[in-house]
Amino acid sequence: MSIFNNAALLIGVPLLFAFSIPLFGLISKQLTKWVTLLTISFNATFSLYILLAHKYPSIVVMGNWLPPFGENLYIGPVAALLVSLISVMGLLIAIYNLWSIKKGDVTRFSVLFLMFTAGASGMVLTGDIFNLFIFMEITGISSFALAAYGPEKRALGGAFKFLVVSSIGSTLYLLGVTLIYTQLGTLNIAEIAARINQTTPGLLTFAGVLIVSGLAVEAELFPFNGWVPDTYTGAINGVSAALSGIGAVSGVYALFRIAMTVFGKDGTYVSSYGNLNFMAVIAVLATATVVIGELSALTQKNVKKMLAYSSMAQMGLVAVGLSIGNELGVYGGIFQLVNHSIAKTMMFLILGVLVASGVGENIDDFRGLWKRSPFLSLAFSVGAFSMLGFPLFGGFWSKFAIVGASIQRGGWYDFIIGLVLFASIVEAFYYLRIVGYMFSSDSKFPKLKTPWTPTIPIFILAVSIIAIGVFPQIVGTFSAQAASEFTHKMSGYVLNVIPTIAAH
Amino acid sequence: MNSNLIWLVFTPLIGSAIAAILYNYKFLDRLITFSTFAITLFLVFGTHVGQTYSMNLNFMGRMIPLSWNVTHLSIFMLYISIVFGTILTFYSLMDRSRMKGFLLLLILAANNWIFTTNDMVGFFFAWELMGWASIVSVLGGRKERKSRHAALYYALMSIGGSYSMFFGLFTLWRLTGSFSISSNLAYLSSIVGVHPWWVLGIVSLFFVTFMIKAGIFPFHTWVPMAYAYAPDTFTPFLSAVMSKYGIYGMLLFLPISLMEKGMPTVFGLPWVNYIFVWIGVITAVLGTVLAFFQDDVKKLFAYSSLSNLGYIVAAISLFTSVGVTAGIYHAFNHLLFKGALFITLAAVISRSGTSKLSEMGGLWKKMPVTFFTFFIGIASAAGIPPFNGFGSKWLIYQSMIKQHLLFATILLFLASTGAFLYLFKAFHSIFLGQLSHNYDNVKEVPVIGQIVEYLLMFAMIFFGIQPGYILRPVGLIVKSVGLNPLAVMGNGYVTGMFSNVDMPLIGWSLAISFVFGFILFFISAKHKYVSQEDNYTAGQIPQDWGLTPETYQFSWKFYEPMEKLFAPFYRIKIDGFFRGLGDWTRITGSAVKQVFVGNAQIYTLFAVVGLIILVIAGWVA
Amino acid sequence: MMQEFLQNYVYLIGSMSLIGIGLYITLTDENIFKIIVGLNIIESGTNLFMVAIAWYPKAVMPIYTLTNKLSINGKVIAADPLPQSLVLTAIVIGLGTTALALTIGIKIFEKYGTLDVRKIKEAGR
Repeated sequence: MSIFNNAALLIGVPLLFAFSIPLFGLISKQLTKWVTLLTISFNATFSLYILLAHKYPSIVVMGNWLPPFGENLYIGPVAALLVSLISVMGLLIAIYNLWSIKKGDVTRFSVLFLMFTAGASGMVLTGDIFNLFIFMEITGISSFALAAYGPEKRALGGAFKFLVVSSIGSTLYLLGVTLIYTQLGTLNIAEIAARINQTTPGLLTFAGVLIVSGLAVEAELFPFNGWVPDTYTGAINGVSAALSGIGAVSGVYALFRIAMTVFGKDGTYVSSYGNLNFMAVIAVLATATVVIGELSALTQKNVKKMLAYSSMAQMGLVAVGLSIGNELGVYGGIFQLVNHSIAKTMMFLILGVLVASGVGENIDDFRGLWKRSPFLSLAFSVGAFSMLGFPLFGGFWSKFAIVGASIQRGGWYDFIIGLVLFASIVEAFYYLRIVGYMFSSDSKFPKLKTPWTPTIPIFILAVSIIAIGVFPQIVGTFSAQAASEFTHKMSGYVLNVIPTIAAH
Repeated sequence: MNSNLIWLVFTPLIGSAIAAILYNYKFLDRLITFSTFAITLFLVFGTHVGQTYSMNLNFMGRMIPLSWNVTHLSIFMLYISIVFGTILTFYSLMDRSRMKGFLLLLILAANNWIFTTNDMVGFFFAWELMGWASIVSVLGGRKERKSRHAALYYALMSIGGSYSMFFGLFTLWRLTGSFSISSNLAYLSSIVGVHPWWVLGIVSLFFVTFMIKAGIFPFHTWVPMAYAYAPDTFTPFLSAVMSKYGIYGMLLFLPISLMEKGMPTVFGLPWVNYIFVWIGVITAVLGTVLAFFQDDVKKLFAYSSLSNLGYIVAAISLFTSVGVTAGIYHAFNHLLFKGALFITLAAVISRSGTSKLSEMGGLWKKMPVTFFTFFIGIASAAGIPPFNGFGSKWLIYQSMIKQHLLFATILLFLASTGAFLYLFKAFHSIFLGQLSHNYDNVKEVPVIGQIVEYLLMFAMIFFGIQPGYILRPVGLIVKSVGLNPLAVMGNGYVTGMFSNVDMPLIGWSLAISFVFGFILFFISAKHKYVSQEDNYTAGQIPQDWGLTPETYQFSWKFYEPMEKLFAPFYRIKIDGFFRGLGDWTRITGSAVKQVFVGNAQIYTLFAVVGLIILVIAGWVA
Repeated sequence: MMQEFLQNYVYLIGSMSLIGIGLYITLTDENIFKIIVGLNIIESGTNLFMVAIAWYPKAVMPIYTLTNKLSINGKVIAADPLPQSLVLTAIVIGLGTTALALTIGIKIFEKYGTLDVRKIKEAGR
């Protein structure tokens, strides 16, 4: 156990600045966006430092109360990787927001955006099952408000749907946490994880069902994901990017932290305690999500809604990978999470730029885009190719690992991966259709003038997709460590937090 | 350890990156493409059989070995593909079609990787790379809408095929724990006597991929669309080189069947091979029959391509000395003549602006060099002796007869006769007959194009009368897969089972008789040149009968009687299955989409119902 | 007997009923504000549940004084204080959610001109 208390700044600094932004807003509204940017860039720098200088595994203890008595943050490989991902995505979206958020209540948007990244980072970092709830709610409330932001009517409808479903989800989660607390008398993830077999199996199963259902709302798994299409479509593009690039990341993390570390049973393939194998439950839900998401996107003419469905399906693919439960599968899942976060963020940002320059959201508006804006259409295709898992793009390696792991596991996972691959062909159709529209048609419309500011994040994201595709070890090294953390719950997590705890 | 192998892959990748950056300057893009092909060709000169290279890829937190291994087959394939690519890209320097050079270079990288790799990770990577690069290449044909549809159709088939291979390679990995192709093949051979069905299942997963890429029945449906609507300069590569990837893959896996012990045999062939022979024969006949009636010249030759690949598959699946020799030899010949034909077609289409046979005609005076290249090309394709298509077809018939597959041989003969018919149709419709007034100002292709055409003409004649230069390396390949190579008596001989053919002799005798006939033609014939409308109307006004200049074109309803003959078979639509699958998916998609047409309450209800189902599941469990 | 049962379980039963009632309102009532009220009721039910599980019959208050012994013979007889503090947090979060939901509700009424949740859906997809 090594203690690295400075990491608390990753949550503290954004929250501090989030609530002091109104003060900056008194000086100038535009200043608040820069404050947001600087705060998140601090987060990004610091989290990348933690990741690259290998400052993990370590814990953050509050007031010198060691876990399990004090609340703690845990920075393992997973948390380090994902918090870096969240902060970097937040930074890039913040750069985009410099250009995109001009009218309306800029100050409050900045507050919400900082709260959102702080909450998502908190979800990833926390080592306490109730704090997870708190951070989930911080993320949730700020994302409802972010989703409702903007001039459009549909934003409100989407935000309200998100709010209702998400409230139910967090209530279910809280009930589940309470049930576990009645059994074990602790809220520390590490301690619960170590003592989970001391609970009554029936109650444990019930609690697990509640928790999995609750977290599946955030992780966008069917049937808990009804809100996804409307919310993503309704929100302004920067927010949709944040929801899929940041919110979904923390949601999936929380789901699998609970399912694999808390309920998990070590083995070649992680399964869970209780009467129901939650890994299998998630696998089924995730497969349903992939298939339903891709099929829904197939006939979609609105590109933004199509991206929303695709986002849902991709989260399903991530969950399929993680739910396989061996190192290769978790590796693929985490890798896919990173790839999806990068690619989908980029595509929403591109859509934002396009919509702002007068190109519509419909697929017909993409005709001949290559002639109008080569950079944006090329970047969009890079994102699409990464989603489809084409080689030389990031998505290839993660899909490769996920399929490999499923077939390695065999049995009914062969069937699952067959369905997933069928869904991938469907996905290929609708993405390549857009690519075809962009590249094969001439357009009578004039060339687009691409503003500089949003080009920076899009360029960085596109280049990083290709970089990951050519050198998969950029992400691969870290996601391999993450896989080892997820699949070995005692040595990977529990013993790093509470070294003295007796293995059950 | 020979690091030049990895440069075979990296040089095109680097070239591709540069070409992509300079994409807006079209000529530079083409020039870089051409020079990269040329440099790669020089790299191939330094590549020899037996060279290996391996490196470790850090993947999944562990090292995945990537290995390269040059075999006789791979070096042969490398040479023929890269030489042809160099010629094609040289031709494309003057070309105006929307072929994207950097994508062609990506395909080249994949090409080199596929042919030299000895591990399935690299194979799959390269295969997918080649797949998507070619899909995007097909976009941007002359007819945008159709080329987009063709690209999408091709994409779905191709990706479906890749996923099939995906399944296969990981299943092998689950069984052996290794990605190496050679050791996995050895493993499959070793268990084929014990678990024949297992081996068959795994191998067929791979074969679906290869059949899709080569366009073999029943996966041929994408071929005519993609070939016809791809950019004109890309079609030669698609047909000549890319269809051979499937053949290469099949050749990798075919040696397994040699050791099949428990398999029942038909005509001395394991029944799997027997089925494959028939698949090849069906493809050959199907391609021929469908090629008759095409009015789009690229589609016609796409079906012709299909037919020729059927020949190759039928020959190699016999897996005898003659069969494999004939198959590989025909693969080479097909690459040469079909490449030449598609290049001349690109030339014709770029000049005439149409690909419809009924709109062309009489172009031979305007484009003589192209005409002669095309003429030699179809002579080769039809298997007329001094040119290069003859030897391989002759060997294919021999190999079939040797296995006593008489019925199949007869069908192949029929297909070959049919090939005469459609080739003649194309030849006549494009170049002979009357010149339409639309083409009065058509010129011959630029000098670069003419150089390429002369080169191709020379190659088709040279390899026709000197087949030994190809048969020797093919013999080495045959030996390396464990069969007895055919004896090669000399450069000029094709040695079959029953007799030898002295190609130069045939060549000379045919040339002499041709010259003789030509002299007779000039001495005796009386020519009168008339316009297209000056015809057998016997005093009636053509317009009264609804006759227009197009209907006077020779190719108008060229094979109408035969079309009527085959009409009943036209109702059987193979691609109906795939279209039906697509429609079904689309309808399901529209239905599924209704799940997400709801309000907050419905979504909450979904969540609650999901929760209740999970609770019940937990209760029951 | 009955009384004892009620004494022991009344809070649990109450919390479950609250959750059920809230869920029923959320799922059946079309008015946005009633749905928000329903969500609130669910939340109250959850909070009550958390308080209820911390207490058991005859538990003493968890404050150490000279007269209020927290344990007898090593057996803890005090109620668990932690869930109560958690409930405080949960109440605050609930407040935040409700406030936001009401804001969105008002905005929805301004823009859509209706409070019927069934009419707030995307048309024409």
